[in-house]
Amino acid sequence: MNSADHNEFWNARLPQKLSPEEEAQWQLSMAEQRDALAQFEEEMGMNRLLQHLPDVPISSNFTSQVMQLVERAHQRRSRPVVLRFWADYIAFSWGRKLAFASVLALVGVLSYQQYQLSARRELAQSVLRVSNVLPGADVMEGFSAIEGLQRVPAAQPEEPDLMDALQ
Amino acid sequence: MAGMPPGLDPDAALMLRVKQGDVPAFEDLVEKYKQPVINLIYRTLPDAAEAEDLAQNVFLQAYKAADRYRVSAKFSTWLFTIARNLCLNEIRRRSRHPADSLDVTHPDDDDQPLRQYEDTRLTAPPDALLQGELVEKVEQALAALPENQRTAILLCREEELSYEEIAEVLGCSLSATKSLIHRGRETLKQKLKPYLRTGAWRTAVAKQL
Repeated sequence: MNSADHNEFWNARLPQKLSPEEEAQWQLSMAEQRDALAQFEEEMGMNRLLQHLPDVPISSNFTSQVMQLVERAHQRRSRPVVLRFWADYIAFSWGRKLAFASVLALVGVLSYQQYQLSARRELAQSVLRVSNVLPGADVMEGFSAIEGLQRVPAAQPEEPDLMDALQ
Repeated sequence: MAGMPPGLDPDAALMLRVKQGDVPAFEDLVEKYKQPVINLIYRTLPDAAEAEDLAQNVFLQAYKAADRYRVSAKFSTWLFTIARNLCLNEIRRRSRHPADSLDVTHPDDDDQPLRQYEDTRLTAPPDALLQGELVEKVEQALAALPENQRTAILLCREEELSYEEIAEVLGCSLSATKSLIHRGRETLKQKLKPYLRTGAWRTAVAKQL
């Protein structure tokens, strides 16, 4: 029933004519009711519009697609953890695989560097230990003279006179 | 099924079966909630293809989280919470990596946009135009609302959800939720006043029925 119908309904049922004051009160009351009616209409309209928004179209195979994903997830859960890890790795995008491989390579390089450092340190310590037992540098100075002697040609054939003199 | 408390919500009962390894039981839940979920997602991220992908992901995440489902939580509340969280994640992701503009042209044909949408206004019969235009106005007005107000109003459409349950999905208090709904509706009424006052909605609704 709209506001005009409402007015007509109540006017037809009033038992007597209204005084001017009563008429004014009546009009005020009707005006307030009209506002209330208008607000009520708006609210009702709003509710109906929202309720009757059309459903978004959905693929006919939506449920089966979801169940396929769910089945796959269910099967993955049933696998042992190690296999799950490799299955996940293989499913990684190329970007992720590259990132994972880069991390591994970096770890490898750093480990090798550490190994080299440690090996050099050990070598240095070994040299230090050996140098502590070796004779001093002054002996090494005569070493070149000793080495020079080695360049002397092979012993000459025996000289009996020299041998006799030495004896 | 043995071990089920009497008077248990049917959806919760199905979810308990899923928790116990009954995968086919999940299909009933998907069938029942796929439309409400995609309605919510599409009106949050207005891209039909992405909405469907995200909706599938919602159900997949719900399945994966079955171990954490508590019977005390209503299934629909729990599901819509997952849907909203995934929508928010997608909105954040898009704000970091803006999607292709609708103005981007097709790689093979510079005269054509990358994505094309049919303009039903040009081909629809005259009687349907008013309905289509009004629906479009309502959709536009909804899309212009802040996310929390829009989500609150859209969840109100789901008759199964009480205000308390909507508050749970939104992660805020009951009074805050009512305030969101009220403010959202006031904004919508302002934008749709010409249609509400003239009663155009009556024609649109009559055609829907």
